[in-house]
Amino acid sequence: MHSDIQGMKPLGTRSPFGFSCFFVVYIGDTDEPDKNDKIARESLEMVETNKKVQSFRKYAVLFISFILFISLAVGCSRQTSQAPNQEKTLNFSWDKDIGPLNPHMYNPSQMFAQALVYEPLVQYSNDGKIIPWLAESWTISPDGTEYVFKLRTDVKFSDGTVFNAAVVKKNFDAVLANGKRHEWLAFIRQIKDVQVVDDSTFKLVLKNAYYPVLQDLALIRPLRFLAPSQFPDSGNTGEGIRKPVGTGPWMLSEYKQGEVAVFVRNEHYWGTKPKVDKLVVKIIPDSESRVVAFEKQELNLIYGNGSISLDAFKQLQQSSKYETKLSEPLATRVVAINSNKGVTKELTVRQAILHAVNKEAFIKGVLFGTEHQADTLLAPNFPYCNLGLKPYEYSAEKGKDLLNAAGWQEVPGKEFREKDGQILELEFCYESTNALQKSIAEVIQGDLKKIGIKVKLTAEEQGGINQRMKNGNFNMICGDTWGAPSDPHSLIGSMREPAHADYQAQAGLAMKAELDQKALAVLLTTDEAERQQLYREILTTLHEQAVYLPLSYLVNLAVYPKNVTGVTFMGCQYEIPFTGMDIQ
Amino acid sequence: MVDYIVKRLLSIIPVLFGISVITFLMLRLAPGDPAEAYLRLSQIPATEATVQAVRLELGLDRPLIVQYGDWLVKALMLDFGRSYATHRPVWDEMMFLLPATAELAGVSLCTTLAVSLPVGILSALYKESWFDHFCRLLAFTSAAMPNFWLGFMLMYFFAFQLDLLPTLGRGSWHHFILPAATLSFGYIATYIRLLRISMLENLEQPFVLYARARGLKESWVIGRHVLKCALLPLVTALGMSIGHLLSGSVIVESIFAWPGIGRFCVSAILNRDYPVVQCFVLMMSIVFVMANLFVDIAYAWLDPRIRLKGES
Repeated sequence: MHSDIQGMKPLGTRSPFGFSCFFVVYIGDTDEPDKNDKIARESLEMVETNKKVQSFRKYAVLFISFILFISLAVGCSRQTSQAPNQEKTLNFSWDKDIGPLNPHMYNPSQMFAQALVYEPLVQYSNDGKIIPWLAESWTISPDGTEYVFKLRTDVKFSDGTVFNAAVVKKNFDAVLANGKRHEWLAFIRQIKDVQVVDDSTFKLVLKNAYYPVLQDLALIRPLRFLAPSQFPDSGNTGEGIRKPVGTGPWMLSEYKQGEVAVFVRNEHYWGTKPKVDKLVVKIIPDSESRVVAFEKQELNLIYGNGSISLDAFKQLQQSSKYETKLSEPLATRVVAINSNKGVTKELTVRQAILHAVNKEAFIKGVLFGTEHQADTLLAPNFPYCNLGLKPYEYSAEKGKDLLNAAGWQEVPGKEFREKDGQILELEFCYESTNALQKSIAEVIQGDLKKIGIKVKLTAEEQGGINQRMKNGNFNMICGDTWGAPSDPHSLIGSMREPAHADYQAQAGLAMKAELDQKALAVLLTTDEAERQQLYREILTTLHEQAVYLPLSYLVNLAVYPKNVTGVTFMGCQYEIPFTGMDIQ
Repeated sequence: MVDYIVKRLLSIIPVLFGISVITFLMLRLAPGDPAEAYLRLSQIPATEATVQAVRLELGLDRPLIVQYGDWLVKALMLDFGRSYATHRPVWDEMMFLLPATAELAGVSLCTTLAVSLPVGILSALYKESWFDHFCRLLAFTSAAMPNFWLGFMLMYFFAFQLDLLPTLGRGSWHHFILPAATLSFGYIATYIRLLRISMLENLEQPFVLYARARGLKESWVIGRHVLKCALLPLVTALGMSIGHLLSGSVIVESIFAWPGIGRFCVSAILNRDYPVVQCFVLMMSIVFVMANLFVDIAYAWLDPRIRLKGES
């Protein structure tokens, strides 16, 4: 036996990419046959392994080449796609497809897009006043049943058709022909007749006096005007329209369902024409994706309530690259407290709840300070709502005192108060898919626990929550008020509808019948002073009876880069004033 | 084989009938009213009068058996009615949205196979190597990673930070890369592990030993003998994945603003849009049944033992 080296052969280890680990194996010349066989077998295995490594390396090279090719191709094609664009284009996004934009119908048409193309006879201004729009003036008969509108004579549809009283009548007739669909609007139910007085004068006759006629005419739907050329052959716009053609500042030029809608300036527009040439609405369902698209400059504007998460808004607000704005209150986030069920039947319990909830902490912690604290059911900037009502200030001690006075006592060793062996417990219902409602429920649960009230949280789908609103099966339930231009009259009207949470929440009040009578009277009276007084009485009663826990006033938010100017808000939550926006 | 395929195709009819009945009843038993959902979407207050008017318009006031019979007769002629929410014909909506989802599902499936096949094979051949360990780590990571998070991460780095790819939407082939990568990531890791295990099992089989004893080249043994048999569990998974990719891409569609069928159908479920849900369930049933049929045929092709047993 000797140990001289007779031969050597480089072999690889089992390293998949074969980048390293090549070494030298010495096959020894030995006089032990078994050992030699073993060495030979091992050598053969290594040879096979080496082949695999070579083959693997080939695949790896192919794979890496493929990746490099893709990256190169993407890079090259990106360069070609960045062509300079001279047009001023405002890129905006919405979470749903804009729909067919039928001015006389509802979902799936999106209100903001309907408002771009179609205009009302009168407009709701930021300060809650009704201002002339397609109608330059109007007169109301002393009994409040006849409205005569003098129409502008310089208005044309975007297809060049003239706007006149005959067109107004045609549109009104189409809406009334489909009256069942619009019965939710009390105004529609009150219309007795529509008449063309002359080419520029239109008369509306009502069955009874109904003061919010002008507010309802300012709504985005169903009473805006479609060009006569775009009516279907049957004349029934409920079945659909040919194309969305209105008198508004914008006209739809391109549309890809579920992807994008492009609006261009209406050159026939009678008013101030839009400053940008194009408005591109990209459909982006996810709010976080919208933020990424905005930061990548694929969007010039984020606008609306709920369009992005509030923490994302806060981050963008803190960035020095963008401008941010918040609107005046547009509606109220409110929790209805049922006066007709369980422990919340007691006024003192409801009042204790109103004192116990720390709204300031909720707004700071959950809403990132983006909304103002709400102390009354409707914000003071709404018509007839600046009443100087005394807020229920936050004071857990006051809440405890009220509960003590009502006989709900703390029990040593127990977490929650009791009266006659009954635990002070209530049920808070919210939509399971609504993250904000869940947060509201949890904040209230925590605050009420501090004063000894046990809150059971019940999360259900929208259908289940609707059912509870209808049958009153809740102690507390989340909701928003209607907002401008519908409030206060829509809120007051819905109080009389048993299918509404408002009705159910108020059902246990001793003065419910009286409230309903006043709610009806306020809509019918033609006396402004009487109307103001009735509103005062209704809203004061609801405030004193603690049927609502107002949390915050809902606002629209806007985020835009510094080169975008003219971003403002309108009185109505769903109208976006794109016309004044410009890109520098 | 032809008889078998015809028999399987005919068996779809009672399956679909059963599914349509069950879907119809389950939808009606679930809480929530489509009339109220429609009013909510339209921001119209749901009063007794408005709900009644919408129910009348949607035909929901009729007895259940009449509603089902009417739906069934029309469905046989591919008329699935109109969506309660959009008022457009359901079949048209489906045919408009399905291609976008099918494109994305097809690209995702191809990506999954293109990556998982070579990696799975190599992972088995280089068992216990660092590459194999890396693949295992990849599998665990992908199983633990929610695809909405992955989607945002990919979007953030590749679209926003590196500015290599478009953020959202559908258009050129660049738009496919991020959503397809997000969608296929979970499948890739599963397929790699599945193929690896199957390969290792088959490498131990006697037919591999005989093939090697016959002096066949190793690449031939792996490619023609081991891989063919190892693909069987992968084919089963593939059959299920086709259905899942078509019906379950809602999150990816939402994140990347991909106008597909997933988003449409999830909102239809939430809004109790019965005609859309019924049509969707039927379509997906057909996809799953056909995918299973495809799996069975592929089994027979891949494994002669199954084919010969069937013939005998």
